[in-house]
Amino acid sequence: MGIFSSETKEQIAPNRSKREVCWNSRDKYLDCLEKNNIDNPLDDKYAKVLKDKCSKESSNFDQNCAKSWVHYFKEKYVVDLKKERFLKEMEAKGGKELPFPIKRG
Amino acid sequence: MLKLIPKRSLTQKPLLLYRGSLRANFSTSFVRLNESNPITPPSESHKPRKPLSRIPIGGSTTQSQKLNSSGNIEFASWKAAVLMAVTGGVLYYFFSSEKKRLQVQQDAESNRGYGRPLVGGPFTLIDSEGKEFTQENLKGKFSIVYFGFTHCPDICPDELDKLGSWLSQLKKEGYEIQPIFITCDPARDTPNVIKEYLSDFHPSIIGLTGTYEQVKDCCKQYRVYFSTPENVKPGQDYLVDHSIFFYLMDSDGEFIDALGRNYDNETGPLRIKEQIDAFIPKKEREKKKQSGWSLF
Repeated sequence: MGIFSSETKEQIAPNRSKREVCWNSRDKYLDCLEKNNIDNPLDDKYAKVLKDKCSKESSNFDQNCAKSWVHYFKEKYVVDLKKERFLKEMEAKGGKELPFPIKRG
Repeated sequence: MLKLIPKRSLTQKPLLLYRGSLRANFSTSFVRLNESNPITPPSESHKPRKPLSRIPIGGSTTQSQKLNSSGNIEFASWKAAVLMAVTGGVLYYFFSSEKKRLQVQQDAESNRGYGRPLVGGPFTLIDSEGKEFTQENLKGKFSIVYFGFTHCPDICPDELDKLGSWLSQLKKEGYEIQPIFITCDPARDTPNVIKEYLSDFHPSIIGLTGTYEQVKDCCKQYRVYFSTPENVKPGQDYLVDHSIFFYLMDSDGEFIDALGRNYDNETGPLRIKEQIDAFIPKKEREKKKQSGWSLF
């Protein structure tokens, strides 16, 4: 990398079709996580299950997406899952939605 | 319609006139009534009578008048009702639409701020052809400004697709808007990279970049938060954290409104149309203020 780092080579961002490919492999990967109850793919606790059950999806995901994207989507999965569970828990406890919409990002 | 006013005043006037004399003679007449002998002295009987004082209040005469006037009301009512419904409806429509328009105008006015604008201001960047693009280029047309970066994993492409759909929707209805994409990641997003990236989206979107300082200044003007990881080496893969808003700028290049992610394909164009319709150019606004119309 040291030789190339001085180069002013432009990094063209993934275009629509490349994004599509990445998102598809991401969805497959996340489906696999869900199926195998892997709550946090970044946690070492799940490393073994991940390797046993989702290695194919994982390598596809890594291959089709940039490294930063892979990390971002994994983090996002954890956060979204927590949010979803929290909302479900609140609902089970009799919580009600606010009368005005708060759109979640 | 004038017939609706009852003619009671004719009977009431004399009543009031005689009231003074009635009171003056009250004590004497009271004594007289209690006397066993009803025959009054001749001198008294020649006194002028008080005919109207004997008309019972609310008696037969007024009742007949009431009946009479109620007939008038019935006669005029259907015309009056129709007239009232029509004028009422028209006025209601006018005032409610006017109220809405003024509300939007006031919102825009308060967003515009006094003195130094809260959001927006001078900036110097370059477009994807390498030409300079400054705040002056915002003038003369409405603009939507969006900050992002080309290596954005999911939100920016979604938002830019949404923007594209808004733009075509608005164009169909005759609203021409200049869409602008400003990168928060000048290290990687050269004019060429942005050009390549935007070719996937609506063709009218203008992509802007600049030096790190220029972009930083511009983001500061628009109150955009962004963070590029420090000490990024060329060729390194990283993400940029940034705030997600569409900034609607008026044809004076001033900020009107910020649209967040909660605006969808329906509410977004609606809000923009509202703002554009209610917009008054700066010159006219100042003229209004001078003539004292600003209070209105």
